[in-house]
Order: sequence, then structure tokens, then C-alpha cells
Amino acid sequence: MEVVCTVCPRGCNISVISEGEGYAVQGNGCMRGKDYALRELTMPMRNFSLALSVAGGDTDVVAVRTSAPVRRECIAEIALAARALTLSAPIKAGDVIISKVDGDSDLIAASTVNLKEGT
Amino acid sequence: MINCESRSVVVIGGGPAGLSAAIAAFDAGAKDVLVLERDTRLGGILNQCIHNGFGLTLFKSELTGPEYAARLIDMASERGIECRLNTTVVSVAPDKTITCVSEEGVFSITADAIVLTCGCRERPRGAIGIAGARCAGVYTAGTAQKLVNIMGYMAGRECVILGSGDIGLIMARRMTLQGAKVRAVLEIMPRASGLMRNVVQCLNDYDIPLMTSHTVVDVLSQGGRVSGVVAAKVDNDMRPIAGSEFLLPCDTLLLSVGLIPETELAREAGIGLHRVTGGAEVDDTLMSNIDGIFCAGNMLHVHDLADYACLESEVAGKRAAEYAINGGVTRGAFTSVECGDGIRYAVPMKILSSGSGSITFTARPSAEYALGRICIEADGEEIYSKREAGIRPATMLRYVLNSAQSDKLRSASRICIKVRE
Ligand code: SF4
Repeated sequence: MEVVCTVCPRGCNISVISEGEGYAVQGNGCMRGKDYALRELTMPMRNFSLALSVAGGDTDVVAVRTSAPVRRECIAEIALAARALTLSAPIKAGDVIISKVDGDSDLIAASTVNLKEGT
Repeated sequence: MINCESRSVVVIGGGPAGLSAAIAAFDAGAKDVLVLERDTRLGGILNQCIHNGFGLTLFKSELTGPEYAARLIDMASERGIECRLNTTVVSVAPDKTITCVSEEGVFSITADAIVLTCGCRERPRGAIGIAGARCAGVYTAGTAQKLVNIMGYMAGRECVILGSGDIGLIMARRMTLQGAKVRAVLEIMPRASGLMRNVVQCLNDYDIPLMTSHTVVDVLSQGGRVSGVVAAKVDNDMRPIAGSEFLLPCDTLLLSVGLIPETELAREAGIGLHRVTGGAEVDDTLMSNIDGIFCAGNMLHVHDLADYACLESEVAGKRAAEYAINGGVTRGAFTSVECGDGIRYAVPMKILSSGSGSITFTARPSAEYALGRICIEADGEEIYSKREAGIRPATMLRYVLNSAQSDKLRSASRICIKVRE
């Protein structure tokens, strides 16, 4: 099987061939690519981010992201739940928006939204 | 004019390149560095790039754009570097007088050295001449990115994206994650023009079709808003093939049809531009043809990684500080860098024979090679070579030469960079 590694921008083309009990991995520029390729065949994991609306802040949007990769199949569900939230300022980068969205990964703020001046 | 101040190094543009240049200039000994930024905040385009994957080289971690910007902003403020926001530079004169406009009015600043880090802009719809309705719902991918990620407006519900540049791919994923449907990404070339990792994690992950050798031939509208686009297959000369047209119903068309260096100030200052990059032409200190004006980041050439734009800007910032501290440099003879087989352009374009220190090359390949060797030659002698797998025009190449290799280039009368198979 062919896998394009997304761990770093080099985007190596990695081939995974089953060999007896295990797998042989070829074309990876580094060891991280081997782990990635094998995980890609069993359970693909991804980080992702969202833009969520915030009330009462100096900006109207907060960027949020997963703190660690989540199962790819869970992304749509997490995104749906997050978009349904009503958030209000202040929010600091690093604040947990939803804890444990999948495994130990939290959805955390990636930007800071301060209270709007005069409120 | 209400006053005239003077500074050692002035950086124009407070995005990632500008902040990196300012930090490097400060660290190289220029203590009164000033950053001028026209927006209400620092960080430039990173603020709207909320996807992750930034900073693997520079910060050894995977950050979103706003987090990456925050790190650079913190580094600048730790050093007490003054950054003036809401300040638009209207002109830069060859004598390094900068004219600005802000709430305080019009004022000028004289600088010993200037670093231009003005970034780039998107190729607008007009530049590619799509036929059809002039209705609402046609955006450049970057405008849609700002609408969604900064202003909190959904740019559309059903999208078609024309062009598979990185921003187009990233916006395909963004619109999907925010709850829109992306029908397809159309690319006129036979292959994606963005990074492979973005094709995988932005399109394949979300089952968004990438239709290569396709373009938009008509935009349809209903009630003043896009109601669909007519797509067609193109032949080898990129001309639409009659009879291959089909309708893609949508309410939004996003254009990701290329980025061009922002060179308005540079041109006015008399800075020579490069015919391929569209950005400034620079020597190995990243100085333009105008003494004391340095250029870096996307205004020099469009980068695919923020990390590389920052590393490049560090060189410009450091050299600008040296220039300011030494009261100028005398530039003697130089040798132009020739681009041989497989290389579309390389930065720097000229190597000064009088310079010192290590030279960094960045180059954009012109073709795909499954396996190739990048060679840098001085008078026909190979002084640097590196094997590369999967050379593609979408992926910029970057090489840091050591001092000995760099000195060999400085004494050469012919310099060439090429790909050997
Ligand atoms: S295998 Fe290593 S070098 Fe290649 S893309 Fe993956 S992380 Fe990058």
C-alpha cells in the first residue's frame, strides 16, 4: 500500500508491504514516517482546527485545535459538537474548550480573545 | 509633515517575516529597530491561518498560525522592539526616507537600513479572466479565509474551488469542517499545485474530489448570487475541450489561482524586480539594488512554508543591522546565479565577491523528478550536491552552504544551480 506521509512538509511517498507477521516500510525519509504509515493503515489520526464564534470579545472568532491527534473518523462529530457551543469572552490561548474529545485529546483555544473594551 | 525621526533599522510589515527580521536585527546589535504594520495587530496572514502544521522547523512543534504568530510577537516584545500598528507606509525613497500615514497624520522616518517584508497578495479573478456573471459569491480563497476565520461569517454553503494551491486545499478542509459542502477542487494543470500533504489531509480525508486538467468556463447566477459554475476538461494547451462541459451547482466559487509578491513600495523605491518571481532581485545578503534596502519573505518570492520565510528574513534582518552599524557597505563585483535544468528560479540571484559567511539558497524546481540530485556549481566545479527524492514544483528547496562552499562561490565567475537525474 502507498501512503503519503503528512507528518512534515516533505510528504514522503511511503510503501507498506506485508511481510510474514509484520510489515516492511519503504520510502520514509525518517522514522516518524514509519510510525505514521503503519498507523495510517490501522487507525488514521489527525489534528484539526476550527473557527468558533465568540460573544463579547475584541474579536468575533476564536481559533481552537485538538491538543493531540484524534481518530480521523471522529473529526466530523467533534466539529459538529464544537460548532453548536456558545462561547463568550474572555478566552485565553490554551484554555480547554471541550475536554477529552477523543482519548486524551482536548479541544483547546489557539488564540486569545479579550473582553471587548467598555464591557 | 509633523515630525521626522531617525532609526537604525526599520522593518516594513509586521507578519512572520517582518517580526523575524526585526528580532534578528536586534540580536545582531541594532537596538532601535522599528516595525511598521498597517493592520490593527501583528502577525500578518498567520492570524487567519488557523490550521495546524506551522513551526516544525523553527519551534520544533506543530502550531496553528495564531500560536506561531504569538511566539514571534512574544520574542519581539521580550526584546522591547517597538512595533507601530495602524501605520501604513505610503512610500520608500531610495535615500531610505519612509513616509507613513497613521491616526497621527502623515510623518516620515529616516532609516540607516530598511527591510521590506510586505508579504504577497492573491491573484484576483480579473487576472485569470473567468467568463460569466459578476455576482456575489466569488471570493479569493484568502478572502474567504478571512471571512470565516477572523470575521466569523460563513462564506458559503456549497462551494467549488478553482485552483489547488495550498490555500485552496486548506480552504476546502476549512469550509467542510465549518459545515459547508465542497463539491470539487478544479485544477487546470495535470497535477495539484499545493503540497502533497495538503492533498491528503485536506481533500482525501474529506472525500473532496480533485479534478485535474479541469477549469471553470462559466459562472451562473440567480438573484445576484452564484448558483453554479460550468466546468470543463482542458487539453494539453490548457484550452477547454468543447463538449466536455458540465454543471456544478454551488453558491460559492473560491479562487486559489496563485500568489504574487507585494512590490508596490519596492517598485516605487526603484528596486529591480525579477522576471520569474515577480519579487525583488537580491544579492546573497538579501540586499536589493538600492543600498541599504533588504527584502525577505513572500515579497521576495512566494514561500510554501512560514518557517522558511522566517529563516530567510532572519538573514535580511541580521544583514540590515550590520549595514546600519557599519554605516553602509561597499558592494563590489558580483556573479549572477544561473538556473540550469529543472530549476525555475533561485534566491539569491547574485553572489557578491566581497561577502563573507554562509550563503543559503532557496530554489523552485520547474519539473518533477522521482529522484534527482541538486547541484550548485562554481566555474563548472560541483561545490554542493544533494540527492532529493520526489522533486516537485510545489515544494521549495532550501540549502545552507558552509563558509568554505560559500567562499568558492564568491570567487567564481560562473555560478549555476541545476537538477541532475
Ligand atoms: S517520513 Fe519523515 S521526512 Fe518523510 S514526510 Fe514523514 S516525517 Fe517528513
